[in-house]
Amino acid sequence: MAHTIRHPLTRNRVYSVENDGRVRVQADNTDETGDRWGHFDNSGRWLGGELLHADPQMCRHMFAHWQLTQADVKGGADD
Amino acid sequence: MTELDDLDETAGLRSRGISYQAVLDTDTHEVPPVLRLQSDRYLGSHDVAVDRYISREYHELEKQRLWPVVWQLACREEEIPNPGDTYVYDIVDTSILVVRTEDGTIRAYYNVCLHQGRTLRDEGGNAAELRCPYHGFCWHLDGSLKRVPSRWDYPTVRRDNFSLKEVRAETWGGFVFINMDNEAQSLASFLGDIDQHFERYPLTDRYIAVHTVKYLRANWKVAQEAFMEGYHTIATHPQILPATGDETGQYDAFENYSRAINMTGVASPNLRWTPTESEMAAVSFNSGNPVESTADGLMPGGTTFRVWGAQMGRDALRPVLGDAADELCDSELMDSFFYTVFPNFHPWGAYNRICYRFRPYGDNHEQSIMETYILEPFTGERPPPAKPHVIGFDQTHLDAPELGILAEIFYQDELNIPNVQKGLHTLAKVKPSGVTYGVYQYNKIRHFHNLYEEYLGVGKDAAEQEEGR
Ligand code: FES
Ligand SMILES: [Fe+2]
Repeated sequence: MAHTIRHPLTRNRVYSVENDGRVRVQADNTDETGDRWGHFDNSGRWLGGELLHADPQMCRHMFAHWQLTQADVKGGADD
Repeated sequence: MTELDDLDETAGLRSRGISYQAVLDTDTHEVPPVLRLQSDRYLGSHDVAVDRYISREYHELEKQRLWPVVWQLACREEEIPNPGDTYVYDIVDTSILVVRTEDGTIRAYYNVCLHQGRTLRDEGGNAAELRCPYHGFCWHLDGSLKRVPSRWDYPTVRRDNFSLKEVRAETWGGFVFINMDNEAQSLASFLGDIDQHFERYPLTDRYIAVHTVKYLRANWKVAQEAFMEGYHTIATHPQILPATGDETGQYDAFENYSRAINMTGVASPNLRWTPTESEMAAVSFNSGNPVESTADGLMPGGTTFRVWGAQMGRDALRPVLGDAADELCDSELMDSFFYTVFPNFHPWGAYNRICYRFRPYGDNHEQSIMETYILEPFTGERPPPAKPHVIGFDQTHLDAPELGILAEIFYQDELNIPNVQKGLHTLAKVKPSGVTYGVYQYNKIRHFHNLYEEYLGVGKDAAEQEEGR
């Protein structure tokens, strides 16, 4: 299961990670501004997309989890 | 008026969330008395001036009044199991050599050759004798003088005046502590009644499964304080809030040590929604906090995550502990128990397995070393201790995947630590009173600072501190 998290405090933001490690934050399609998303780095710096803000520590968590899972996958392939 | 406008300052204020003691009332197993113990002394609401984190003067005071007189962790006994095994422990500008002697006792010396002052050993390892690599002055493992090259040239050097300078070494829980003060109370008396907190999960019967050594750009106190309260969870580790009671933790200050207990399987009172038991399990297994209800099915129905998770914990420990695993209560298997022994030693309780040590990086007051030991229980022969894994200033804990989930957690903490050090220099200019700690959740940190002020002989505010010097 892909690691996808709805922010426990800001419930209308869903965090996931792209294959290259960029954190994707999706805003729920619940308000009039419509479907929006943004890409952020491992410290919450904006990289692209309409959504400009993200929780840096949540980005940190998503990136860390992604990186360690990658390492697992690579380690497994080497065995 | 909002709650930000007015709050009576009253000792005894607590989170509106369920208390740890109330959660213990629901435990399915008998709860040991030590978990019922509460020692939440009111330690004040004053601010703490920032000089102690950023000024060289405070670092020099620590060198005079703290490190030379306090019991401090040097190494684990298992790191020097055989006669001739040595361990080099460096604290600021002093190097200590811990040695397992012929008769199996542990001794410690200042790690310096009494001839011309070279450090006697550069690192640990086994040695038949303690011979200086420079000119070859040599000592027995018991510290007595053994050999002097060109003996004829040293008429003042005699066996009775040239023994290595000894430092006190005593053990607790499989750890070797040293103290440079010959007049200091014994380690056992310094630790007081701490044994009651560890007797059900002896730290002696553990081995170092993981040992990381992380260099940080922050004062050692800034670094360790990032691991002494659960308050920062709301901003630093938001992903675990659905399964962590963050502000509902219990904090207790004892004589030379303190304790915090943070609950797992109890949702944060700061959430505006109620996680299901399965959602809590999903967070704890780090499998995500599923967007839709994909967490359903992770757990059997009709039970709580605490009860179910605790039983899984017992099952996991049974191969090592045998039937004793079944005596552990839900809290012991689910919650975090983080202790601090003044000034810088942080063993965790139950089978949490974690232990930290923080100290300055060399003689530098704005850099520090954070060590993490994972102490695993074992059966049969003692496994060899893991070698320390050094993680440099510009690396992160993600470079230590052997830490598992802790690597992810520390990766978040280390985003704050150097930035606190940076910010404190600015704070010094704009807020003379210093940092504002919580009254209750900073109980451990306030307890530390009260003791720290006693050792250093300084007062609480900046003006008083000036007089104290
Ligand atoms: S909120 Fe604690 S340092 Fe800023
Ligand atoms: Fe943390």
